[in-house]
Amino acid sequence: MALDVAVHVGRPADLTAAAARAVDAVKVYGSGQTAVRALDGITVDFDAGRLTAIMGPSGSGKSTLLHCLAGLDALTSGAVFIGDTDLTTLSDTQLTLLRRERIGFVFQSFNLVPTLNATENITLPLALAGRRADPAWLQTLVGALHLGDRLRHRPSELSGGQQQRVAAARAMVTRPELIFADEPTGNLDSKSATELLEMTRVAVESFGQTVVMVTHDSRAASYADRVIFLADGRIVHEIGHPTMEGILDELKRLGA
Amino acid sequence: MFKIALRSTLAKKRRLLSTAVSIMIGVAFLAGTLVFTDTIKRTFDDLFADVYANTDALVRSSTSVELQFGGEIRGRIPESVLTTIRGVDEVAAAEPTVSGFAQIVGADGDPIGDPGRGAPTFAMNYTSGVLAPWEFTDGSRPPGPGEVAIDKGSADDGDLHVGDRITVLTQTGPHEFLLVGTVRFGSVDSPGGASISLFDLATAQEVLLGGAHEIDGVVVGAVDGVSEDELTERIAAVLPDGMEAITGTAITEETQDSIADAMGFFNTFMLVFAAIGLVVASFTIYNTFQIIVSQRSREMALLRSVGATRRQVLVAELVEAGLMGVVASLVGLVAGVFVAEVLQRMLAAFGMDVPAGGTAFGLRTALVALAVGIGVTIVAAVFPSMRASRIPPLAAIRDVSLDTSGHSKHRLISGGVVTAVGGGAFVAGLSGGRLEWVGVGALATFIGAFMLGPLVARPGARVIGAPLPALTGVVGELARENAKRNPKRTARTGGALMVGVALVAAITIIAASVKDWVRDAIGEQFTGDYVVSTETMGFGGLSPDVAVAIGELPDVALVTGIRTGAARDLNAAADAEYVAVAPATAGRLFDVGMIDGAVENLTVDGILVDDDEAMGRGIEVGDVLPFRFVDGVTRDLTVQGIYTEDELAGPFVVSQQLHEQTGVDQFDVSVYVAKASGVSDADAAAAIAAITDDVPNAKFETRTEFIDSMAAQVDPLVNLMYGLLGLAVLISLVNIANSMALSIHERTRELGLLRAVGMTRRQTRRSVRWEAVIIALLGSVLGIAIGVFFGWSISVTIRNEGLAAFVLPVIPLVVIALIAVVGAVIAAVRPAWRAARLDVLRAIATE
Repeated sequence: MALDVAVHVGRPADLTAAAARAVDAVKVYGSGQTAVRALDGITVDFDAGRLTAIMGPSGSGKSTLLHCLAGLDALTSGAVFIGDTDLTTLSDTQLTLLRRERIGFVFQSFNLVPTLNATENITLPLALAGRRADPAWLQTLVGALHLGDRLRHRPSELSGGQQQRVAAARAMVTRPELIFADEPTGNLDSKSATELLEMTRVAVESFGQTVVMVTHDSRAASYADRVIFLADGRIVHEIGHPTMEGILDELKRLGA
Repeated sequence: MFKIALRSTLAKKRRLLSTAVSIMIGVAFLAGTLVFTDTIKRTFDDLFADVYANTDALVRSSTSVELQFGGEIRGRIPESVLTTIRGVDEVAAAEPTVSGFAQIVGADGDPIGDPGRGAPTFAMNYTSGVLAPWEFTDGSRPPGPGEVAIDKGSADDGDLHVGDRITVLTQTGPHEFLLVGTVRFGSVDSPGGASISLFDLATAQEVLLGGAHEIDGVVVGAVDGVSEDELTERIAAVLPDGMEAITGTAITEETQDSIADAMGFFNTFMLVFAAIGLVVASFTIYNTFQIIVSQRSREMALLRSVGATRRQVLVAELVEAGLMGVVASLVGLVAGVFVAEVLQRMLAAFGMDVPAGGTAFGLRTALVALAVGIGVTIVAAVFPSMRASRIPPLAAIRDVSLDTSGHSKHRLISGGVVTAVGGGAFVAGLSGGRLEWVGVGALATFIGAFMLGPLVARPGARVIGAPLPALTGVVGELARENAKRNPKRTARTGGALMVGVALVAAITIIAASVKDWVRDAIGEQFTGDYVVSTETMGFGGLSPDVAVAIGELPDVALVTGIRTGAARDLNAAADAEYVAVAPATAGRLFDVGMIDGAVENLTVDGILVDDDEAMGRGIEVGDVLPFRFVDGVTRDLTVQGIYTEDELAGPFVVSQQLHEQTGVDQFDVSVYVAKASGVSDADAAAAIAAITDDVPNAKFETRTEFIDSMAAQVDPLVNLMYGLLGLAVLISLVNIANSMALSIHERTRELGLLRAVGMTRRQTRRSVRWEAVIIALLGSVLGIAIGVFFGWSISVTIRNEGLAAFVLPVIPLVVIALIAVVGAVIAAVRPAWRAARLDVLRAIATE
């Protein structure tokens, strides 16, 4: 039985603004017999200033949801909002500018441009917009992510954890409304993963950053304020203020 | 393993196709050249076979002098020999032939044809009966006195119709005739594009030879049952000294051979450009295979780790190259037929009208084009394939290794040595007159520069790209960093362009230097005010009457006509061309820098010699040089002077009186004029122009105009070479498009990331284009550097006046670089488009 989670999790807009919203989001790949409904009518709000984790077994649609929320992929039907902007009405260029200005990204791998050094990678979205970085903010980010001595290095000269922290700094440099992270700890050893997750919490708590994170890792999800579980393109469960045990139980129930 | 190679080749059809394009273009040009030259040769062969179809024997003078660029001048024989020949029993028919320079004037008043560059324009006597090679297409009456028949091609060109009164120019000046017929030769309206007038024998002798009762030869037909050889033998037995008889077969072959010889230069010229195209194509193949091998290294390593031997990997790669070579060569071969067509039109556009009827597609063309195409592809792929075979199995689980070639000492040394040896061979070949060394030296220089390329690519891209971040922000910076990240690839991608640019730059420098030289030489040597010239160089010219008429003008102080001829230099055992002058006036209008003797003192049995020639052979004033002239007479000429300036005078100068005695047609190739003092420019010019206006093939120019047009003489050839080098540049642009497309493919994830974090499609396209600009500029700068070296050494060799005797045309060189850059931007359009259209999600999708 699919729960209508929106009823439970949706809060009145006057209490806490939703940073992003999906309304009856449907994504179908292919057509006819071979059609796959990757998203099967998802409606969900993501609260501002919170870290939300999306979990689910492989093929549950969690990455597709993230991509559609970030304007990287287009819905078959339904709508996606970043703030008040309906992404389904935007052109490719408008979407690109929206990603550049209002969204940050951290991916599992290949997060950095190999030909640019750490500072250049961090400020890349600003440079693409032809803007300069706010030195104080940059300083704050670099300090918070412990990157001070690695700024002139190229990605190939950085450890995996350092690379991912550079990516995190890049994601925050424009002070975006929202950061999307796709398995950010997937390629990291546990120490680096812990560091990154702790820094993410700092970003949420100290800077009021909104983060949506897709992950397989229940330990990573346990850092979230809220975990949403997907299966077969639908939201099947959610846990507020999760614990490792709660998450693992739910995953077991889902057979993941 | 073969199956794997085949499958991997077919799996990447598009890549195969785009790589094959370069070799396809090269093969198409090679095949096109072969088809084209075969076609011309066959056209001429058929023509002369037709012309001499009914000729069993030909009688002619046994004295001939060969000219520099094919062709010969042969003496004439007395008409009286006809009677002797007709007296031989085996002779059924004997007809005299007379031919000479003639140019038909079209209805618009302009002479038809351009004998200086294209097919000859001439007149001959009309022979009737079985020996006539022509048939009427309009009219039917053989021309009588005051009448002419012309070839149908010229009639169409000049809009001339039977019944018109037309003007024909000959050595005796313009004459008017009634056009009584148009003829064609076999199936050809105008054989070889030539323009031909036909007169009766008396008229031909009158207007072509100035009334001499002489003929060029006699064509003879045998009575039934007598063989060519028998007939020829019989005739030879009764001929006086100084004449020879040859069979119809022999004269056909001889004529065909002389055409083939004359074509030989052109043939070689075209094949050189085909070779350049193929060299550039091989660089392209090499580059593409290198990129493919590095992109596929995981696949190779996987094959190796599951047990494929090195040899198997190598063979698989070569099989792929071979397959590509076969496909590309076959397509190129077919395209060659169209290229032949294009070549013909291109040459026609540059003023070299070459006939071609019915495409000749020989087995040789097919074999050569296929062998060269496949061979070049495989050779170019050998090194990348060897590299592929050396990929260790472990690479399958490792990340692709970084390119460290940016600072290889080994590369610096070997590349430097090859470049230096190539440059040395080039210069040595030039000074030694060994053209094959020049070619090999140029090739080695390019290969050396190609090897050194990766060393300069990174610093080069840094310097060239330095202003980019300021100009275009992060987009330009990304472009610059991408150009720097793989210096080997950047160098190879720009390297093909380097070759084309180097050759274009070299030709530009040589052309500028030669023009400068011509301007200098004429400016210093010509001391008069006006020149009347004709473009019919070496094939007839101005009637000497023109100079006489101008000399009679009161506005003119001095006039002198210049003629050219050829004779056998018996001491040197070589045929030599000479200039014939009027000693009284020539020296006062033209300063050839006499260091011994004076032009005024040149007598009919004297000769002036250039100082280089004199020094080389130890000739001094007072020496006697025997020359055998076209009339078969050997004259001992006394050296009466030595001069230094040979740009226009050539190695030998004789008197016009002597030239007239040798019985050849008398034409002035140019007439130099100085106006009388106190006469205004306008008056003098008007008076001379009044005379030359009546001579359609005369070109009247002031001193400045003359110098300009002499300098401009190199233009058609230079333009033709630019056109042909366009091919190499085109192939190198294909290379840029190819490499960029492969790089984009390789950078899919990186581009996706950039797009995800906010790079717009427009910015993506701009970044790719800027990268192409950097690569093109790198190739162009290297190319221009090499081109300057080539151009300088060739210019200096031609002029032979010290190492500074050359011109560096800065603006044209900048323009060349700009054109290369624009070409590269166009080549990058598709890769840029693909980069911008790339699926962003693929970057994020985890493996």
